[in-house]
This record gives sequence, C-alpha cells and structure tokens, in this order.
Amino acid sequence: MILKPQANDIKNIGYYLGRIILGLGLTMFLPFIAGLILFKEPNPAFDFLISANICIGIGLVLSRLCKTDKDLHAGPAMVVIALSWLAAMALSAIPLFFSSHYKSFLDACFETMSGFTTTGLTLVQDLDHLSKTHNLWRHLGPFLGGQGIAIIAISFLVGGASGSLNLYLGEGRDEKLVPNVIHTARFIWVISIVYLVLGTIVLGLVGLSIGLRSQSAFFHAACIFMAGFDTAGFAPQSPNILYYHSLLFEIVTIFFMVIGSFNFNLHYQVWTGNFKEVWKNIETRTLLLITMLVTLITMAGLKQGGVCSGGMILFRKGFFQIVSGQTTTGYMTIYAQQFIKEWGDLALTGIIIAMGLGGCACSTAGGVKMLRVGIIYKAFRQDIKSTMLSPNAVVTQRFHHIKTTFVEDKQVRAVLLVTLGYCVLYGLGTLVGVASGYPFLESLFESTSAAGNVGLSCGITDTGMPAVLKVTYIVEMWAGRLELMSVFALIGFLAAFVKGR
Amino acid sequence: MNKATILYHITLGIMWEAAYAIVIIGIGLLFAYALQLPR
Repeated sequence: MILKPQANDIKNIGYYLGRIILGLGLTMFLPFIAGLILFKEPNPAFDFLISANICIGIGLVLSRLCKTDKDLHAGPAMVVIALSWLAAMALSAIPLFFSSHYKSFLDACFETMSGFTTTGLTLVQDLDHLSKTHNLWRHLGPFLGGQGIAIIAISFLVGGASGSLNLYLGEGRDEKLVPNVIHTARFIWVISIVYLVLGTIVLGLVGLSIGLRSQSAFFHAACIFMAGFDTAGFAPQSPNILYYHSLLFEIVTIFFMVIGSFNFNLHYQVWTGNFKEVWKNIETRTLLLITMLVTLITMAGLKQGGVCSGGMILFRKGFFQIVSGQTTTGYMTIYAQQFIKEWGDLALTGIIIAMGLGGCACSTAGGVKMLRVGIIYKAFRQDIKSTMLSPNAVVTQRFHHIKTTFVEDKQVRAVLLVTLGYCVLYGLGTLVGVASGYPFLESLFESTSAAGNVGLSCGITDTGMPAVLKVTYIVEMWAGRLELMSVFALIGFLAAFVKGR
Repeated sequence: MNKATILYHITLGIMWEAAYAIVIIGIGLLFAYALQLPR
C-alpha cells in the first residue's frame, strides 16, 4: 500500500522550495547591478529587476505559507531538488525571454535548463547582438547550476544539518569533502571562486594578446571560464571558441575543461596537501585511459575520412572536440554541420562514447562518470578472475578513490543501475529524434549530448526543431544532471499523492 | 594550519592539477602527430 504524503511533508517541500527560489531571485541582482553600472545597459538590467522581484515574491510567499521547523527527510529532499530545478528553469527564463532573442518561452526555458545543468545546447537567436547583461546571465547559469542549486541554498539560506545533507545528496552528489555538509558546500564555492579569478585573469590576458579590447577581453574571459570550468560550453559569440581563432586560447580552454571535470573531493584532497591523489585516483586514471581510447577511435575516423590533414589541424579540430565531449563541456572549434558532413561515422562514434561516459563524479560534469566506469571495469575483472580460478578461491578487487576500497556487490549494483538509467535515457532521446525524422546516428549524438549534459551539437538543436524534441531534451538534461534518482523520487511522490491512502 | 601553509598547498595543488591537464594535452598532440607518420 502506498502512503499518501502528509500535509507536513508538503509544507516542508514548499518551505525549502521557497527558500531556493528566494536564493535564485537574489542572484538575479548580479546581472542587474552589472548591467546598470558596468555595461550601462539599463533596459536589459531592468528585465532582471522584474524577474528578481517575481522570484523573491514567490519565494517569500512559499516559505511564509509553508513555514516549518521540521527537518527535511531524504525523500522530500529529493522532491525539493527535482522541483527546484524545474522552478529555476522557468523563473530564470523570464529575463531571457524579455530579451526578444528567443522564439518562444519554451526556447528560453530550454536555454536556462541547458545552462543550469551545464549542458550548453542553445536556442538563442542572433547571439552576437544579445546584450552583455543577458549574456552574463546565460553564463552565470552554469556557474550556479554547476556547483548546484542546493549548494547555494545550503551555503547561504537553509539551516538544519540533516535537511541540508539530504538536499546535497538529492542533487546527485554522494561525497562530502568534510564531515559537515555546510562546510562542504562552502568549500565547493572556495574552489570555484579561486579558479574563477585565476581563469578570468589567464583567459583575459590571452584575449588581450589576440587583440580583444580590455573590457571585452575580461568579459569574454569570465564568460568562457564560467561555462568552461563548469563544463557547460556556452560562449558569448555564436561561432563559440572558433570566434577567437587562437591556438593559445584553445589550449587554455582545454586546460580549464579538464580541471573543471575533476571531482570536487579530488580538488579538496590535492588542495590540502594530498598531491599524489591526482595520479592514484581511479577516476583520473580511468579518464586518462578513456581519453586515449576515444582519441584513437576519433582520430582514426578523421584520418580515414581525410578530414584533417596535418597534426596541428587534427589537434585543434579533432582533439579539442574530444576533450570537450569527454569533459562534457561542449565547446566547439568547428561548425555543428561539420560533424555530419565531414566527420564520418567512426569519428562520430568516438565522440558519442566520450560524451556518454563523461567526466568525474561529484563534479560539474555529466554522463555516466569515470568513477562508475572504473568500478564496472573492476567488477568485470573480479568476475573473470573468479571464473578462471578454483571455485573456492576468494577473489577481491580494490580501487583507490580518496581511500582504498574493496569492490562490493551492493556498490556494483547501484553503479550498474545508474549506468543502465543513463543508457535508457540516451536511447529514449534517440527514439524521439528518429521519430521526429532525424537520422539514427545524429539523433543518438544529440540525445547523448543532452542527457550527458555535454552540449556538442550536430545541428539538430535549432529553433526550428519540433517542440516535442525540445521538451525531450529538457527532460534529458534535467534527469541527466540529477542522475535520475531525484526525478524518480518526484514521480514516486506524485504517484503516492494520486494513488496513496 | 596558518594562512601561508594553506596558500602554499593551494598553489601546489593547482600545479599538480595543471600537470594532469598538460598530460592530457600532450596525449592529444602525440596522437595527432603520430597519425601523420608515413605508414
């Protein structure tokens, strides 16, 4: 028998949702102030004032109406997370829709979901003439969503250790950097802000060296860094990274994409003196091996097709896309159509594998994640060894991730379930793509890109694509970012609400 | 831990992470140029 959620549960969900929406509203003052003072764009700035007021209004009403002292349990916390991402998508789309650069409100919602989930697929029209204020908001989305909407709430707005922990876990992160979840959330901000300052300075200097004006160079640097480190792939100009035509800019971007795909726990370990963790960790080792494998596949495909002649061209046009796909960033140094018209099936398959497997767990990257790939490999090894040896032999496998752990059946089951979930998600998006009239490989590419929160596009993502496909990709981005569990919790909650007694 | 030690660890930590990223970039360059070698 399914139990109907009680009034207290609903109040609790409403209260925490209200606090998160309130937090979102407060972040909108950043583009408002920047637009008014820095960019001298009063009209776009006021779009944010209006939207911030709407968010703050809704947030205050919800948190006042549902005010409760009860701590948030694991189930309702997952529902809060699932709902807060949907609310963030809809409310953040308001100022973007006001910009008139989006064909419909659905397109603006697609853009914000893509930003918050650090995907990077875009439906903006005439990006090159979008105001800096709106552009800043596009890039702030990945920076806020990459760290996690719950992380903002935990850091500044929500009290209660148990509730905070449940919110943190609900966002697809199961590793705490330090025992206290509030300190964990704050340390994630420290890492991001230190790298933001460093990245903006380095990319800004590179921008100056290639001829950008100072304000423009540092604006571009901040935007590219926020979307690069947070593995989103948005850029302030429509040709994406191709706009800069600079090898140095591309190398620095690769550098930040790789570091951005690292586990926050790994950052913490390395930053607190455990330097060798970079080379010992199962995730970084798997990432290195998978990158080598997909580089071999993709480059062989490119070479076979005679697409890129010359080592440097292969590096800039091929390897850049591989790292971008592997780290689930989605930055491009080629045009979307080139994937289909020039790359060939083998090279595309290499990129699809990279996108599907993704970056490290507990990072801003999407996809199945390197930790899971590593554990699956170890479990396979364990099974093969046990079939080869005597039936009485006890076979164990260890892996190093912060500490050395033995592979356990329970853990392998959880890993395989999430991996299967991702495969189903990739497959469902492909099915809708094929049903909408797109070829299979292109549909698989775009679906994997959406569900893996990558952002590379082979041209399907366009304002002209069917609305059903836009909604499918929005759902894929949302479910992929939350690693499915919070979405299942929301579905379960709704089912209990309707069918429960 | 005092501030200087924290700063020292962070700086060294960033350098170790940078070393990893440089290895990845090196792999890309190596593969790209290796594929150009005459068979």
